[in-house]
Amino acid sequence: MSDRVLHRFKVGLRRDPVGIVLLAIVVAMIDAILAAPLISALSPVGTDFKQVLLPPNAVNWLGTDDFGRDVFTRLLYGGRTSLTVAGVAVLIVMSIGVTVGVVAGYFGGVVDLVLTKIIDVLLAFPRLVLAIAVAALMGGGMVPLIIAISVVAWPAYARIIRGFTLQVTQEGYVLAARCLGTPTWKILTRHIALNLIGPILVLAMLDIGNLILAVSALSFLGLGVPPPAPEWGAMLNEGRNNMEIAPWLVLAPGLAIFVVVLAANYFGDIVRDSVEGRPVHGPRNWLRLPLLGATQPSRLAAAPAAPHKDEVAAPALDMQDVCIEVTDRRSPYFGRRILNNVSLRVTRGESVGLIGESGSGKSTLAALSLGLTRPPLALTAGSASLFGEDTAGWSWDDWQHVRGRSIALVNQDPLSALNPVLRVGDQIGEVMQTHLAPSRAALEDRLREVLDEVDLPRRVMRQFPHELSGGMRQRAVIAMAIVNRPALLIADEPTTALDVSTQIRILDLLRGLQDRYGLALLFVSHDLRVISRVADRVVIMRGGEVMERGLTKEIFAGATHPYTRELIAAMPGRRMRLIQAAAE
Amino acid sequence: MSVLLGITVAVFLMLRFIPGDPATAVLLTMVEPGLDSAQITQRDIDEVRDQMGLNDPLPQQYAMWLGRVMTGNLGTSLRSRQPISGELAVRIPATLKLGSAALLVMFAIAIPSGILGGLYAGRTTDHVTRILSLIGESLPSFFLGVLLIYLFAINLGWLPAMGGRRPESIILPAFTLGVGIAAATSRLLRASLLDTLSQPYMLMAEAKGMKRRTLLFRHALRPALIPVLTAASLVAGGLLGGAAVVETVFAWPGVGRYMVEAIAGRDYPVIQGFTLLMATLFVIINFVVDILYRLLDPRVRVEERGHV
Repeated sequence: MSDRVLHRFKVGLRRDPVGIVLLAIVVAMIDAILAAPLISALSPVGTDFKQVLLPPNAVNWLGTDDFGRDVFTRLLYGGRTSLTVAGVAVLIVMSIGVTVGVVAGYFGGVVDLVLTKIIDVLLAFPRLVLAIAVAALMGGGMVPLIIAISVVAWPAYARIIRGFTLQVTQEGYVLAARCLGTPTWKILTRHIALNLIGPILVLAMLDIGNLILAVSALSFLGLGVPPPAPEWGAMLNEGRNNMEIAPWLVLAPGLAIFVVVLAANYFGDIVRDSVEGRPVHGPRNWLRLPLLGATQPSRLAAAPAAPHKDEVAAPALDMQDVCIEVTDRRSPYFGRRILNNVSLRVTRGESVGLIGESGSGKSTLAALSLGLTRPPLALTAGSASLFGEDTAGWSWDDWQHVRGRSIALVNQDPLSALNPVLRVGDQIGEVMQTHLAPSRAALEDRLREVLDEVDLPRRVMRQFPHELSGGMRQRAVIAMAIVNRPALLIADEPTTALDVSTQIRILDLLRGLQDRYGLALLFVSHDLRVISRVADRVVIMRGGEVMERGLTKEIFAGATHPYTRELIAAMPGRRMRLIQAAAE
Repeated sequence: MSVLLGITVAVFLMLRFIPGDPATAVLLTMVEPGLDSAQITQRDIDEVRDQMGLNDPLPQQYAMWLGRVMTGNLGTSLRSRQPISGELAVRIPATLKLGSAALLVMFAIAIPSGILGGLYAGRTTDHVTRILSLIGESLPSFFLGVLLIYLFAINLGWLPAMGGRRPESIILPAFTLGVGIAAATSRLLRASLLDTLSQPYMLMAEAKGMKRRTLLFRHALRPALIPVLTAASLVAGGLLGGAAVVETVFAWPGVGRYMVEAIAGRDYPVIQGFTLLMATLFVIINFVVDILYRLLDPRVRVEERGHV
């Protein structure tokens, strides 16, 4: 774990000029701080009232303070204190955190209960408040400062380490070591603690910036080393009074703290990314456009909400030789062709079944018909028409007007298709509101009507998706799709996640709706029994190409393509009948 | 509840951290300046020990102290000889005012930057918000405060540097306090938004033909804001702790500054009272956030109902 993180950290750093610069500055600062007596011959505490508040010059690079002391020298020596306190505190915090966390996690029982309670109580204080209180009650100074920081910071570590330990303790090798009678201390140090080094280092890396900030805040409040010894936070506090005439007194220590903390946080950020991974999905294309801009008039001036009488010729969906490829160079599948010269036509009132195994490209085809082809995929050849109009030049807004109104989608997983924090009624209603802007009464009428159509009780309007069963959620999704009486419905594996009896009810519902509305239906599935129940015609796909097409009855009675025959033979129940037929 | 009790035990035991004998420490702050410990007689010490109840067994001392705290008696300040609860009470409104203003600043910064970072993940906008939030996170609040005073109060003269008498006095301290806590919230919102944007229900909402605004604010942002609430504890901790520092920088008349003054005067009971107040406040805030979380996330709500 730590090796992998370290490796990614290195790789990340190499491509990161900002990180390299920050690292160089911090390394230089730490070197200078360590070699303070060699770099500056001046004393950090020696006062000289002839040289009070000098601006930066050749001798005093960062000027002098109100006691005539050299600010640069004080900065170097002050850094020793600040960074020593932070460094020692990190070590203490990690040791206590690991010890308590491992002991609590490994032994469990009463020990765990007591330790966890202590952790809970300490975490119930705001961190900085507790640190200030502890340092203040102890009177301030270097040791109280370290103690205060440690007291405040260890519980969070202990809690996380306890969690890790609980996990590791369940691992096979720890159980094995226990069974072999390995002494407990050996198990704790060798098997558990060693495994925790990675997470501990990551935690420390994430927190060190905060610790340095806390140290300097406490010393700013006068809880650090007593004057005249220099310390960054304290220097800043002293410099405040003369800020008007000598701003360098504030700028020098302030920037020193800032740069160190910035570097720590920056590297913490990189470490966090290499552990958690930083998602960098390319944003969907609706996000790139002006979000609050006025909506453009639709290219489809009259998007056909219901099939026009004179448009018998124009099919609802017509795809001609479409090819879809992975066009994103960064994708590991760059250049792969997902759909290869696929043609598909769904006329008005017709139900077409699209059959194919996983990865055959059928869902990609369904997405294309809704204009939802997304990077890394793109249409590279062929054309897709809706209701006789070529969609090639459609903008996102053109699609927005058509989706949900003329063409609707019912997709695979009914739970994930519904927004978990919105009421079902609102999710159905918004489709109508967006497209038709109905009156309140009309909306409620139609909502009740559509719930009846999909056979859902009216109470679901006020319910959240998780309160519904799988079948009910799928009905809700269908209600969302048909509320505007679209002309074309794309059903992408709408019954896969359901049990068989629910499947049949949903299929009959779709079939019934199709009859009632004269809806064109593209039904995508890998399940031939399902398809045979709803489709007039079927198209069989494999590996992005159309294998065979024809009327459902004919295909099921006598497929010509060997793949189709195989598929049909593989249908449960079918095989038995075929074997029986062969035997007879 | 048990945590609250634990807090009182911890705060009670805190006074034992004082190096040396508490009675001597108290006496030292009470005697005239110029005198030193040599002039304190053993009889004085015994007398104070008796007064403070230090001769009783520890559990009894704790019970007595807890009884007083429950009735709102936090003891008397060693410097002003006034009841601490009263002194805190007059300063609480100023701190609350500063805290809520800082919270507003935080939202004003974190929500837009979190949304931009999430929407434009991996692009220039995302990098810019990330760098800004890193800077905000890394600037010590006292340094930022002093810089703001230098720029806006001393050089430009636009805003008052110190105190809280004028209404515009709150701008600089609230900004200082808000910037420090905005980074974590922004980061969390970005991650959470990215997560919801990649959910299947977003694709479904798009397939339903929802407008951009609806997609972003209703479908993506609403669920994305719920996890951000879990960071509220972090935010509250930053506010309460940061208040002490920021109030000191701007001489803001709140409880934080009162406590820092008490440090210089070695006014131990005040430090104790302040810590207890802040911890209690923190526990209450976390409790309220927990309730809010349940109200906002319908999934949690039902689970709870199921258990009862």
